[in-house]
Amino acid sequence: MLGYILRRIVLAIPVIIGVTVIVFAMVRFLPGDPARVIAGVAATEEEVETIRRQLGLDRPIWEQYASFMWNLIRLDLGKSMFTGKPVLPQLMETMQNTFILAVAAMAIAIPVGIVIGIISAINRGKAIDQVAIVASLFGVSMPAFWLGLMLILLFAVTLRVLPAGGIGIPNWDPRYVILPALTLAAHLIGVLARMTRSSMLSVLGQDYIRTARSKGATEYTVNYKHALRNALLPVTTITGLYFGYLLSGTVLTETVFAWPGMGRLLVNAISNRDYPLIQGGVLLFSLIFIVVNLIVDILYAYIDPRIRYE
Amino acid sequence: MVSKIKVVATIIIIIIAAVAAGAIYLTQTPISEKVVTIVYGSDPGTLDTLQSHSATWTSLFNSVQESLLKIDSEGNIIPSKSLAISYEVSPDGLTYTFKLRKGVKFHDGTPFNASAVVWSFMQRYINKDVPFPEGTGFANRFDPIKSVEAVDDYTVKFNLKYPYGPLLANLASYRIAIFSPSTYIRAGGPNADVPLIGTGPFKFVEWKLNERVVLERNEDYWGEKPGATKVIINIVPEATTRISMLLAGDADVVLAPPPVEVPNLRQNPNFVVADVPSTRGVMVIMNNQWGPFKDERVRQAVNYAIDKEALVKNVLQGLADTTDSWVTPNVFGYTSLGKWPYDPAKAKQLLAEAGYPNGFKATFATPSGRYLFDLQVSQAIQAYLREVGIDVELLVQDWPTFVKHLTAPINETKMQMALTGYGIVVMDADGVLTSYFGGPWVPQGNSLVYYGNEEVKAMIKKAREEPDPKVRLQLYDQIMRILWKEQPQALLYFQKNVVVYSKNVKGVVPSNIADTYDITGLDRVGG
Amino acid sequence: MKTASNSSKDALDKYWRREVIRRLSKHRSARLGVPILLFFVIVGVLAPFLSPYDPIKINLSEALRPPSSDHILGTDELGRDIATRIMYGARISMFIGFLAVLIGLAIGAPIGIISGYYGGAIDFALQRLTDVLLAFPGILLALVLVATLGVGLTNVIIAVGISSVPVYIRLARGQTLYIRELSYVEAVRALGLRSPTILFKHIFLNTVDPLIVQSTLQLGTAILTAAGLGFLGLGVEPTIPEWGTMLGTGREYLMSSPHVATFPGLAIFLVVLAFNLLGDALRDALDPTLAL
Repeated sequence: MLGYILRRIVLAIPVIIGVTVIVFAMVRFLPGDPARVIAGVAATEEEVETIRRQLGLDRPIWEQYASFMWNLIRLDLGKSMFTGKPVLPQLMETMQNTFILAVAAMAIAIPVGIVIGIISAINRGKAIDQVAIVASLFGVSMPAFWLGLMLILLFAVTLRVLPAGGIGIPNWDPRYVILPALTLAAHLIGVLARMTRSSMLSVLGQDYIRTARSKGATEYTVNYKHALRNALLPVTTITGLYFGYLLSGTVLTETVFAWPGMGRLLVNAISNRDYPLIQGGVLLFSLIFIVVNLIVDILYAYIDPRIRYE
Repeated sequence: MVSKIKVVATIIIIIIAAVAAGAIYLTQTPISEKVVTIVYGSDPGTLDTLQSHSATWTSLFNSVQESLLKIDSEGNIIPSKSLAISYEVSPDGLTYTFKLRKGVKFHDGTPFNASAVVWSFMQRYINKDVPFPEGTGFANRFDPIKSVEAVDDYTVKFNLKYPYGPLLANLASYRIAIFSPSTYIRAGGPNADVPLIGTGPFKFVEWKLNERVVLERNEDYWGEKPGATKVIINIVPEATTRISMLLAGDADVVLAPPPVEVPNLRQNPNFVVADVPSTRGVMVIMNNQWGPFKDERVRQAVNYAIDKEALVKNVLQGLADTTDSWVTPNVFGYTSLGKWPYDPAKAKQLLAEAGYPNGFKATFATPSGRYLFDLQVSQAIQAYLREVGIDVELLVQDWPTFVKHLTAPINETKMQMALTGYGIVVMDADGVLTSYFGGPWVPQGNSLVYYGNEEVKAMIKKAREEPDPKVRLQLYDQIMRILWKEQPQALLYFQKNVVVYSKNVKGVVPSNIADTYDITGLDRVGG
Repeated sequence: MKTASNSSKDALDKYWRREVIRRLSKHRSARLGVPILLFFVIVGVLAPFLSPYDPIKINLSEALRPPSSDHILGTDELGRDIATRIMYGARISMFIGFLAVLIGLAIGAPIGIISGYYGGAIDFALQRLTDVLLAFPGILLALVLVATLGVGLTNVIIAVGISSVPVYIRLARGQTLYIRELSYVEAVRALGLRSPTILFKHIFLNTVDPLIVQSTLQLGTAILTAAGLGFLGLGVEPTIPEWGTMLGTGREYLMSSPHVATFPGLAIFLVVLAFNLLGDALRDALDPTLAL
């Protein structure tokens, strides 16, 4: 097992290096000269040149990459071109907000999604199944920002029971997380319900379940003891990956609810051409994703030992 | 088995950590505090007001970092509210001497005195330790100043290269604040994370990126203290969410509310809508050195073709004014030149005279979400121009791409037309005229239209260096008349500055300078 | 012998195809999804005959009119008839969806099949690359691409298409791995058939079903991603009646004139829902192990 984990970690290294190259290259393909954007329309060419030198943008590209990597190894992601603040603490701070939102969304979506999926699978083909299918599709088909705005209009403006935006200032107030978490959860509920349903159905169709049935096990025992446990394995994987996805920030929901998370930070950075911040953010996303992937793989190997020897 | 327990334990630890992280935030606010909550759409981006791109944030921060002079809405200096209590001008107009207020301290404890003023100007504005960014109105503004020197601890002298009419207006600008040298030096100078330290009625407490800025009352303020003890400015990008927060009672003040909501808010007895004309001009710029736009008749035709009144009424919900001059009436140098009416027939006739009876094709660059309803205004202009035969292709660009498009040197530029704007920061016509017409072309200067009339350029320079206000007014009248006829760019309207606030709050004043607000008198009344 | 087996295979294929259609027509999800899609296709095609208005022409004096008998869904902020724009928009949004999916499919599927079939170093390198691409959230990838390429219909299609490439690589590779191990492919291989032939005839043709299912679902995702870009102001040119951009600009009027954003939002929701329903139905209908 340890050997397998080590092998997976070693395999992740070229991916991480690949990410750094792609991130570095991608950012430099963006049109718009960051030195010019910082200096502004009214600056003289000389002033722009000064900024370019200060930012190291006048050096050859491989030199810029080498110093980028060297700093990276020392955990120095540089300073934001706009705020002048170090990138890493900024990312960590927004990460924390995104984490809270992601956990809350998962807390709503996992039970609801799985329960809908189970009900739907057990009542396959009946009216309740149809309702559940369409309901779970609602979440998947609705534009998130649209749903968010509708929730604000309903709960914040009309009913006045929940705040419209922000993260609860000056005191941290859990009410603020409800609407954005619901907005995010809607999609995940749909995904999980569909996943659980199809996974349950395929398990229910398998031989050992038929055997259990023929041996006279009750419907309840078959459904919950045998089928559900096995059906939830792929659901766990999806949930894990989705969590990684939520942690990388959900641009649209964060914008609608003024939630100061990773997605918004990155969108602002893109529109400012704030190279260090874009690099740092995308790098962090990728790392999270790689780590989550790693954990999922290892968990899977733990559950199903055959994978280890592949 | 052991590893299963580990997994469960890890999950539990993560959950506990998350809950604990939440609980840390749970701190109590003392009841005696008078907190005012403001919402605004964008982040300040920087605390260094000299590098800021945001007029609104800089004006809010002017309650922390004060300028040397304070003026009222008519442009008169109010010595009782200024850091400089009096001033003297030498007869040749080359030396300005200011007496400074005594007993004033910066929030970091540094005394406010002549050396702070000298340092602020010499280090930051004159020697430009960081280049001045766009839209701040800084360009060329300090060129006429030769040096600033301390006569004694509370007397400062400005020595000029030539008589410079707009100096006092500049020193009174919210943009030109006095910095505390010790904090700045300790923080390591330009481009560093310099905290916001000044002499103003509010102290800076914290800035959380994309989240909020918090200010608190300066209990040691030298002047009249505001009623509010704490100001929280939340950053909320979505306009609907901002208004929702106001309606739901989560916010007291919305700066620059979306115009479409203003009529409804005016009807609502719980809120006050305040709007004043401002110096935020929006215009269609044309490349004066490109094809058809070399001919002034074509540029005139563009202005005739656009129904500016309809734009203001229907798109901007009346929250702007069409204009009869390059500057608003409260700016020094204003002269009424008569509005350009909507006259598509005349536009067609001018195009025909210029040799384009069947019109022509041009590109029109527009930013997205930068100016009020920029996409809508651009689409409407596209439709109006099509009516007279000018077939315009819209290039929607994000801001950095747009800036690059607009600032290319003349031999590389692809700019033909674009929607852009200017905010007059200093209440003197010199700023706008010098940077858009009098100065060099982009990228060396700020003439986005590649303006070419050397005669007018010389006149603008002359007016700038003329000490006699009467002579200056005459010169500006001549210059503006020529420019108004030449139409190097078609000025559409000046936006209003709007704020909406709850009846429980007072002292948030929209200023007549583009996008700025004065919160130095902020207070909470009743509930 | 050869012809006989071929003709019986053809007959089987024919039968199966008919069976899939029969299964689809019986499937409840398809019965709900297909009419919605048909409705939007018809409305999109017949837009010029169904509406007396121009979807692009601006009429400021008619701006922000609520729904009435003249304008059944009201007018937008520039006085354009919203119903007309939604009708023309059906063309645009579906066009974006189909082209984006085609781009993703055309780039992703071959890479995935080659990667899965050959394995080894190529597979390793390609999969690491896919890992990297999957590490970027789709909308951010699309956002960066639009920022790079510039705003506009073509670039939105390219951005949305490219951001879906990794999904197809993964899917096609997984399916190829699965088929490669099937006994009949091993048998063909043993017979000494050349790789390209096997690749096309036996592998590609067998990945078609799951790719069709995924593409149907991906159509919905593509329309949603394009709408998200429109929401962030980086969608198509604002004159083009694309639903996402209509919703994006319309939301500024959400409180006082909710109809401007509501109807395009509803249209997006319905079409995406319909594609998802159809995708589900296709998946079930194409699965021979499922009794319907």
